[in-house]
Amino acid sequence: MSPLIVNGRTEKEILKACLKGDRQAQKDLFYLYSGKMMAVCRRFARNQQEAEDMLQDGFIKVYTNLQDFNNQGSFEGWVRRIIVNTAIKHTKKKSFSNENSGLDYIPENSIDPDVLSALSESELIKIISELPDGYRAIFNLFAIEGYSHKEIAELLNIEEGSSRSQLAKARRILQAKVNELYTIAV
Amino acid sequence: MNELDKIFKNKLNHYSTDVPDDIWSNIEAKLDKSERKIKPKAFRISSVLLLFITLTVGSYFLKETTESIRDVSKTEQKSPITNSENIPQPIASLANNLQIYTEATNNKSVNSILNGNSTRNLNVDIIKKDNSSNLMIAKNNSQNVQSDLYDDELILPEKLNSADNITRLHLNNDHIGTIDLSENSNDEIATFSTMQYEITHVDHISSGQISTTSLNSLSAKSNLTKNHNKTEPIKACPFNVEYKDKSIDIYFSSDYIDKQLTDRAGGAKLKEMRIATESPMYSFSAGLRLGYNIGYRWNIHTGINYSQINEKFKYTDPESSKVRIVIVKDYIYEHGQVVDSIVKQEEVLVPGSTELTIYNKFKTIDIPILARYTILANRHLSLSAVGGVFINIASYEKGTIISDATHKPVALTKAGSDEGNTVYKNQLGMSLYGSLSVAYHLTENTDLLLEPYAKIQPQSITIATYPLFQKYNTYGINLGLRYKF
Repeated sequence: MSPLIVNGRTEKEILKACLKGDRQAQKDLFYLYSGKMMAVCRRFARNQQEAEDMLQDGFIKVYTNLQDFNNQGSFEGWVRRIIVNTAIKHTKKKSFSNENSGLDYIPENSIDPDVLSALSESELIKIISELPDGYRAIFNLFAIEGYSHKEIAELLNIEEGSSRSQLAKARRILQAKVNELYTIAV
Repeated sequence: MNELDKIFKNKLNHYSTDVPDDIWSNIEAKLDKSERKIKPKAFRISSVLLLFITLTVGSYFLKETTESIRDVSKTEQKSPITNSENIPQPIASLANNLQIYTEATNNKSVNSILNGNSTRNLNVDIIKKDNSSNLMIAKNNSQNVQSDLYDDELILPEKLNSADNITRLHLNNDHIGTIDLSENSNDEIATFSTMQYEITHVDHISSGQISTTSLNSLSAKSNLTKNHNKTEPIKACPFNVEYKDKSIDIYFSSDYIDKQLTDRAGGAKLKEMRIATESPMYSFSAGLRLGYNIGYRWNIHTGINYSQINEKFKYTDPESSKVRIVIVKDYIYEHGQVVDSIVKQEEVLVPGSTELTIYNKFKTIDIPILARYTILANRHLSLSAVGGVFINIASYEKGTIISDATHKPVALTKAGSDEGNTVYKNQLGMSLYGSLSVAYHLTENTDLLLEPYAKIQPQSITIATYPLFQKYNTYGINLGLRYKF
């Protein structure tokens, strides 16, 4: 994979300049990753405004903690963890353990992969954002960000069992919503 | 992870979406704010440290002084002996309120005794004189007070009758000393020296103890060899090794600037823009001042002070934009699985890319007129309170500022110029100055100064037609040297 180059500067050079407080480098860094991180925030947020707040707060943390990045792993991964943690904090005020969607008894039907492939990314984000807060966070963390139930339980301060059950419920809701969308589309 | 999860992950894990333009502006504004906060935080920490040091030094002084007073106060329990008859004539006046009396025996002259001849018997007494020139306390001459004069020291009897009598004086040829009778307000610290003998310290005052460290300095001189009533006012800090009434200070300070902007008339928008575009940078001041001792513990200082306030002016033109090149990697999916990726170059339009960064300088030259009062001192250190005014005699500004007319960047100019924006007065008026000054006595003539200070501007420095009031309050720590002569 080619190294990321922005205006003749590699990612490492941009990071070095950011550490020196170079505002242009900070701006380049923002435009380099803000698109992907905005997509992350959109998945965790209930609406666009909340996603923008998450992105803004997350990037402030990125700049203020940049000296802690040790160049060991991927910088994008580091930024992403900060953004995810910020997003979780934004929604943490809600209780993740006692949410009830009223859709507990939706059967877990299988979905044709072609149906999901036919849906655009923005449509998928939309149906995720319609999930209750706790379900949405757990589904995002487990299914897309790759966190284990143990990690989710620690992050959200809930029981592992609660994480598992809410994930199952989130899946059922998503299937129902995908089916609903597919039905309308066809 | 089930099939549904995988499909969502493959579709969304690397998905990128549009970002509203104003998010970067908000982040930039917050970053500016947080950068501004760093300096006050650092300043607060250093101020706390300095306060700690000052309090520690202050407590040290206080402890030493208190101990001396406590010892002396023991003597207050005794009734002073007043005897206005048969009082010997003083051989020297130490100060307005203190005289030393001697009586030579064996028909030796006072001079010969003090010059260290073989005479071993000497009646010496210390008499305090009140404001009406009446003797309040006198040594009872009826007692045969004996003193011994050795090669380089004069030893008086262990105990005299008067509560205020000093019972032991050590004299030698090389030192100058003080006698501390500080048990009440009339008891100033008397100091003296002689061509032949100089009092270096006092071991006892009656039954009390006085630490020698509090007595080993001098401010006024009188010559014991001359038998006259010449009085000389006590001046200066009593703890100086030798009395010198003039001094010159040179100092430097790293300054923290507290800029205050207030709306005078319809300047709210301008104030907001100026706060957003101007941020503080390293500022400093330096100066030279002459000091003169005008009385006991009091000094006046004047000289010249140069201050430079530095600021960064940073303006982003919201109407400008720039195309930036970003190399990105796209993933190709088939049935929810990544099957390929393509690296491609994209052009991104970045709004508000035209930035203007200017380093503004505000230079001022002031004449300080200061009074200094020595609060506490010993032979190593002294602590003084300094207060007064700084009178501005010249100011010079260079840089860029948001115009109050167009709200666009414009050069700072002086009044009378056709171009740019005139914001500041030519004469900035008067500032109030206050500080605590710690002086460490490096040598007899030289002190190292550490002086945390605050300089407050009571009135605005902007011209009458400018829509904002502006003041610069300066906080710093002067580090300098004082040479006494």
